[in-house]
Amino acid sequence: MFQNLRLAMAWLHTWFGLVLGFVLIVVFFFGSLSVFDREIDRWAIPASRFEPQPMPSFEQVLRPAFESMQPTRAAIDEMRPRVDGPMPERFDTVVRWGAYTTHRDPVLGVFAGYEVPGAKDPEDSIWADRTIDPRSGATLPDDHLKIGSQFFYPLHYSLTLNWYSLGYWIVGFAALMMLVALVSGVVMHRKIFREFFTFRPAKSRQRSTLDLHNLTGVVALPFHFFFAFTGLVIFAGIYFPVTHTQLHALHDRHEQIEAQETGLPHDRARQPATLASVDAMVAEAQRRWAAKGMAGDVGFLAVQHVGDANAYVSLYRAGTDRIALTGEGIHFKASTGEVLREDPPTTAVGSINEFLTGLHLQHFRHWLLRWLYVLGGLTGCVCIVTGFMFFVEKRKHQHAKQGEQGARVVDALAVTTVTGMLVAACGMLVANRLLPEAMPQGWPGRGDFERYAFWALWLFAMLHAFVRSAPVARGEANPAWREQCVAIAVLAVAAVVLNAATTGDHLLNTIPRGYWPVAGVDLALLATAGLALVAVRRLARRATAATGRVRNAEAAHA
Amino acid sequence: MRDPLLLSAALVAALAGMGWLALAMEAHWPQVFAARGPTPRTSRMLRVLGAAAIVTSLVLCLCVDHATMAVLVWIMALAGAALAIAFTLARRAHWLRVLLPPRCVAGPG
Amino acid sequence: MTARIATPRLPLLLRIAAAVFGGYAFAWGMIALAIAVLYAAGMAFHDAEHLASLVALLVYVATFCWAFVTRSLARAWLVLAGGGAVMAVAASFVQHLIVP
Repeated sequence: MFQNLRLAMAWLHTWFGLVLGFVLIVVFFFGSLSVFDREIDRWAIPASRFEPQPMPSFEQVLRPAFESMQPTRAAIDEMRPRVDGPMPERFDTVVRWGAYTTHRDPVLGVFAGYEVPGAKDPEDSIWADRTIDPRSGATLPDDHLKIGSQFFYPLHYSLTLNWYSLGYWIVGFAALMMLVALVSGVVMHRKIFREFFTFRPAKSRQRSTLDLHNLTGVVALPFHFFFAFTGLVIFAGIYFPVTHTQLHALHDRHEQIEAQETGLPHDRARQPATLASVDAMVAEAQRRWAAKGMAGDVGFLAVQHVGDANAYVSLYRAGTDRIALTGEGIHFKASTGEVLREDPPTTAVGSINEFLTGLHLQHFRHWLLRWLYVLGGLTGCVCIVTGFMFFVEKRKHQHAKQGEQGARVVDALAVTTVTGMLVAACGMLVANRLLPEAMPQGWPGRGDFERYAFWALWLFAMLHAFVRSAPVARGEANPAWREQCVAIAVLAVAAVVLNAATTGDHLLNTIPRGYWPVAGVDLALLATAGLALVAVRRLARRATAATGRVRNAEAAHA
Repeated sequence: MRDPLLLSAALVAALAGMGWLALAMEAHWPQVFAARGPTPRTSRMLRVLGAAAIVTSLVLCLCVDHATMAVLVWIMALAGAALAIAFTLARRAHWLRVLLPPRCVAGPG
Repeated sequence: MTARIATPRLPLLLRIAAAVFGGYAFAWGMIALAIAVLYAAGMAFHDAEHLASLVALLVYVATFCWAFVTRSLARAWLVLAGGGAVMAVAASFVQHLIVP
């Protein structure tokens, strides 16, 4: 079909890169923001602006919180179709209590799963979530959206399209195409080493755009490759559910053998039992980790089969000193506190897998590496954007001559996914500071309005990009680029100002205090505004030059 | 205080290493020194220097963190350094003159 | 790349389908067979799962590119979908030997 390898690769790179590029740039950008998701959470929820806390006492804080939890009405409604017969009003048989924290979390996420009588799948359970202040056990309002970890982060891996996990599949396919684009890009690029440092902004726009595309693609190639690849590895079980479908029998057999080997009961004994001191178990786990020479904070605490004789407590270490996501889990019999099992050291394959997933999920404590990841992610964004721009630059004059609309549409979509995405993200932060603390009774939650603001602004940016796109069909630039850059600058500055006005945590306060989560978001917003303004000035200068040329040409004709 | 210093040194080494590798190339030497070059001998020397600096950067990273983390810091630092050198070459190429004493540029060979 | 390559629509669509769906089937078969065989050979179950998907994802990238490079469309379909089906059947057979 193609005359040679290079042409085949060029076709793949151009068309799959273009179509999936619109997804990839969203994934790269919100992935970059997710590196600092907890910090964005602090900015968005002022009540949570205090120092990160260790896992609190189970007896004093966690247990009362767990015992007062129940699934929400929405969760019950969602469960209803998966149940034969009526739904109970209260859920009392607890399958699992869990609490999870990291070295960057001041507030603690806790969850509880309950048995559902009459569930079509007996393994199915209904879940309740809550965010608590670990210092007091007080509950935070559950409609306050953690914009970083509950919105930007899910956007990164699922586009928040949860219908039949559609978003996961789109992102997965885009990641696969990222890998294909890297392979095909390397095949197409004849001078990887000779042009390794080459960027010639003074050359033609098509040339300098391609230079920047190659530069950002090549120097961060290991980053691009490993992040696309490890992203796929993390969700491999979703993309290839082999052991839950075709090899189900094998999986079941393995689970039975595993339950026997580990001595951790798979099912309830159906005999009530009391819970021994979990704080004592935590102390014992920390003693054992310390004996192995490992830092000893608890990252994840879970109680399985709560209230039953078969109940057990699992404690996992917060592994902040390694890339690999290891937990060194220790499991205790809940009724007595005796150690049932210590997870064995991981195997070679397990270590590789933990390294690859840990590299992507970054639970480690390393601020330089975090910033380098942001740099890598934004480099990926530049690579994708310059890909769009090269596509348009290459075709727009030809399309203008032939009266085709291809370049115009691609350019408008590029505006939408580049500046439009930034408008939406900055606008969401502005909405976060403008909305009242509590919404009136019967209204959707505060977090829902923030989401609506995000999507509405993005949709508006898209309309704007298309409405203003006519000049591209004449081979000229779309003024929407410039206009949306102005909007970004205005919204970013507004977010910083509103944060100062509504919370008092302005930069003159946060920087001397060394409170970097909020100061960092503010500074990043100001930097974004600054860059947007530089772009506005450049684009304006270019537009004047272009009109000048047109006027001269017209004068020459007349 | 020791770790930030070592990591800064690792970043500087990565930057210098990438700079020397760029100077070893025929396309970039003239951008920096506005003269023809480098001679094959200088080019070879620059490449060795560049490689040594990049290895030094890795060693410095390994002094600070667990090996698995150090390798990631190093790879990302190299990417950042390469970008920084490329942009410097594009806009402020003469800044890279700090990487080479003037007599090496003017010298015979 | 400058001029749009004039290719007939249907073969192109079939080739894209071969790369996407044929490649998926091939990767699926490979994961299934690798898990079954590695587990049968004594590897821990989750290790077998992880190793199989690590390798199969890289193979998926390779087969995706290959589907556009190989001359014959029929061969692309035969190797990818056919190979995937054969491996999947073999995997079920191995599973049957372990769990009758």
